[in-house]
Amino acid sequence: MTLLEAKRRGPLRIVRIPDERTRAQCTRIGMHEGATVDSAEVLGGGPVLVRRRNQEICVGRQLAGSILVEPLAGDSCGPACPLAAVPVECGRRHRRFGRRT
Amino acid sequence: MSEVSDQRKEGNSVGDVLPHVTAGVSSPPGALERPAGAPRPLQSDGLQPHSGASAVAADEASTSPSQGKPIVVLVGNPNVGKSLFFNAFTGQYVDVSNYPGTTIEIARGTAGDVTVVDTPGIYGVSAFTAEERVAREVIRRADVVLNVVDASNLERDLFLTQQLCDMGLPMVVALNLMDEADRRGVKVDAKALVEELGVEVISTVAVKRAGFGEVREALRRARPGRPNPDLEPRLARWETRVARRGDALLVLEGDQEVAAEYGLEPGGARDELYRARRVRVNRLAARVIRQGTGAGAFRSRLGGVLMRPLTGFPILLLVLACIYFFLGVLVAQTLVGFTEGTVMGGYVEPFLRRLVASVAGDSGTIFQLFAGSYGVITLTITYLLGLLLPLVLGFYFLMALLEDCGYLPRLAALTDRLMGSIGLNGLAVIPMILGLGCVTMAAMSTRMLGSERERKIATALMALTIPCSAQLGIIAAVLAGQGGAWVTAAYLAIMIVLLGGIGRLLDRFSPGRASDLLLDLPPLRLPRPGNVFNKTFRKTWSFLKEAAVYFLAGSAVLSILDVSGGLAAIQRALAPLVTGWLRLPPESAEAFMLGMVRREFAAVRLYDLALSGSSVLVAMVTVTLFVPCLASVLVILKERGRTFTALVWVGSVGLAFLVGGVVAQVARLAGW
Repeated sequence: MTLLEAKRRGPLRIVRIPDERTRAQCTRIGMHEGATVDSAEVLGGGPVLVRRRNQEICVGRQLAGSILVEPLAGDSCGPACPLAAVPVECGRRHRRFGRRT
Repeated sequence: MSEVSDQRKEGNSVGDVLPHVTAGVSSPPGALERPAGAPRPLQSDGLQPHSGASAVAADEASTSPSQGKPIVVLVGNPNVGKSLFFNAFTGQYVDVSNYPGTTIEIARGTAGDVTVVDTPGIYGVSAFTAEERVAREVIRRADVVLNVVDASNLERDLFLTQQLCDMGLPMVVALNLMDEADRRGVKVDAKALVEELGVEVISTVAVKRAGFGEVREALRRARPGRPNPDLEPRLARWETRVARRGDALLVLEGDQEVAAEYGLEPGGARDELYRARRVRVNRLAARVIRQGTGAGAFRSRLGGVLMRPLTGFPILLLVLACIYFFLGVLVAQTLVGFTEGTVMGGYVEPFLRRLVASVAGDSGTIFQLFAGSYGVITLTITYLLGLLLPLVLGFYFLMALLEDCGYLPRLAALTDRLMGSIGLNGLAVIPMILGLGCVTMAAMSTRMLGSERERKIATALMALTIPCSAQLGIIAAVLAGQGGAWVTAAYLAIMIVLLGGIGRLLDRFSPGRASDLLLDLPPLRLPRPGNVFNKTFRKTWSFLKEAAVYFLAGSAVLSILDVSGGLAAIQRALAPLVTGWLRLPPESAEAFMLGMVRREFAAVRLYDLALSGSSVLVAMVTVTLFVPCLASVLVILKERGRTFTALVWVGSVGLAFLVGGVVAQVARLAGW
C-alpha cells in the first residue's frame, strides 16, 4: 500500500522510499524507512498530511504515491505508543487499546 | 594517520586556549578535538551583547572576509529561533517569521571580538536547495557553531546536530522553545543529551531571551561533539585529501561541489551514512525525550481545517476579503483620505508652496520645479507620506500577521495541486505571496524551491503578474474607490486567468516537471505583537528610505520635462499607444515612463488621473503587468542571469500593453 492509498488512517510504518534523494530528505526530518507515523490524511485531492508525534509533514501527491507503507493497527496507538522511538509516560491513550505504559 | 587524529593527540580544543574556563562539559570518550589551523577559538570577551553591532545582510557573507575575527555560525532547522539569537547577539534585527525560508540570505554582524553569522534554516548540511548551498558554505568555514534546536521536535532536529558533530565543528547546542515543549508535554533530559552529544547544551526560550547569557558563556567553551563511531574508519580515507574534516564528510556523503573543489570523485555513501545517523539519533532521542500529553490538539485540528480544500478555500477567500476590506476600504479610502486630502492637501502642501514662493516667487521656473504640479518637494512628500505611507504600513502589518501565525505553509499545502498545474509545487505560493510585499525580496526567496526550473517559473510569474505592496495598495484604492465591485471582479478574473495561462505556458515549454512537495509544517502560533510591530515599522521605514530617492529623482525628471515642454512631446509621441490603443488619457504616458523605475510611481500617477469606467480596469491591468521596478530587475539579474531578465523585462512590457489594449478595445466594442 502506498502513503496515498492509506487515505485517512494510521498508525503506519514507512516501508520503502524508492527515490534516493527523497529518501535522504525524508530521513533528515525523521520520516525514514522503518519510521512509524501516527496518521496520514489525504487533503482533498491534494497532498498527504502525515502526523508524527509533534510534527506535521505535507507530502506531495505524486511523492506520496511512491512511498510504500504498512498499517500498524493494533500494534501502535499514536504518539503515546511504546513502539514509538520516544517512550512515553502517560497511559491515557493506551487504555483505548487495553495497554498501559 | 589523518590530520584530525593527529590533532586529537594534541588536545587542542577551544576551551583549552581560553583563560578562565568554568566547569563545562568534560570531553567524553570519542569526542573530537578541534583540528589546528581550522576553527579559531573565541576570546574571553567575545560575544558581549550588542557590542559594535554592524550587521549587513549579504549573501556574499560566506566568502567575504571577517577581519580575522572568529566566526560563530547559527545553524538549525527552519523556524527554531536562530534569528532571535542573531538579533540578541548583534543588536541587529533580521526578520523573524513562522514559515520556512524566512532567512534567505546570510546575515552577518559583530558581537565583541567575534563575527556572528545567521544562516537559512536547514535539515542537514548538504546541497538539495540553493538555500542549503548558501548555508553549507558558511558552516564549512565556521570557527564555532551555535546549533539551535527545537526542544519540542528534538528527534527531527538532532539529525543536523549529529551531522555537525560528525563534521568535527566546535559547537554548543541551544535547546530552544522549551516553553513550547512544556506546553506539548515534552520533557528533555538535558544532562543525558550532553552525555550523548559531548557538547554543552543550554536550555533557552529565545522569545524571552532566557538562557542567552549562558549560551554566550558556553560558546567560549565550544568543542567538537561526539561523532558516530562507525564513521571514523570511513572518513580516514578522505581526511588527508581535504582541508577540513567537515569537507571529508561532505565528500563521503556525495557532495559533488565540495568534491570538485578538491578534484575528487564524490563518495556514494550518503544513503548509508544518513541511515546510520538516523539510527543513532533515534536511540539518542529515546534516551533523552519523554513524551507526555500536552496541548496542541486544537492547533493541529485548526491546521487541518486550513489545509482541507472544503474548508481551506472558503477560509482563504475570507482572508483575502479581510485584506481587501482592511487595505482597500479602511486604509486606502478612510485613512488615505485623511492623510492625503486633509493633512497634505489642506496643510502641508499649501505651507510648502508658501515657503517656496517666499524664497523664489510664486510664478517662475524655480517655483514650478519645486512646488508646481510636478514639484519635487510637494509631489514627493504628498505621495510618500500622504498616500504610500499608510498603504504600505497597512500592508506590511497584514503580511507580518500572516508570516508569524504559520498560515503561509498551510496555504502551500492547500494550493499544492493548483500550483502543480502551472509547473510548481505548493511551496511556491510562499514567494509569490511575499512578492505582494516586495518582488525584490521574493525573487530571492525562490531559493527555497527545489529546482532551477521552478525558480524561473516562479520568478517570471512574480515579475509579470504580481503587484508589489505599494502598487497593490494603490490598486486596491483605485478599484474600491473609482472602480467598484464589477471592475474589481473583472480585474481579479483577468489576473487569475493570466497567472494560470502564463504558468501553463511556462510549464509546457520548460523541460522537466515540478518537484514534489515535502514540507515540514511549523506549528500555528499566535503572532507576537512586538515582532509584528517591529517588522511592520522596519519594512515600512526601509521602503520609505528606498522609495524616497526614486520619487525625488522621478519628480525632478517630471518637473524638468514639464517646464521644458518635454512632457508634452512624450505624450504626443506615445499618443497612438496610450490614447489610441489603451484609450487612456494622454497624461498616462508619463506614468508608464516612470513605472520603469518604480512600479508604484506609475500606479500613483494613474491614481491621480481620477479615471472612471473601463479606463480604471485598463489602467490597473496594464500597470500590474508592467515591468518590475529597477531594484527587482537587478535582483532578478543576479539570481537568474541576463537572458532570463531581458526576456522578463521585454515580455512584461509587451504583455502589459497587449492585455491592456485588448481589454480597452473589448470595452470599446461593448460600448463601455
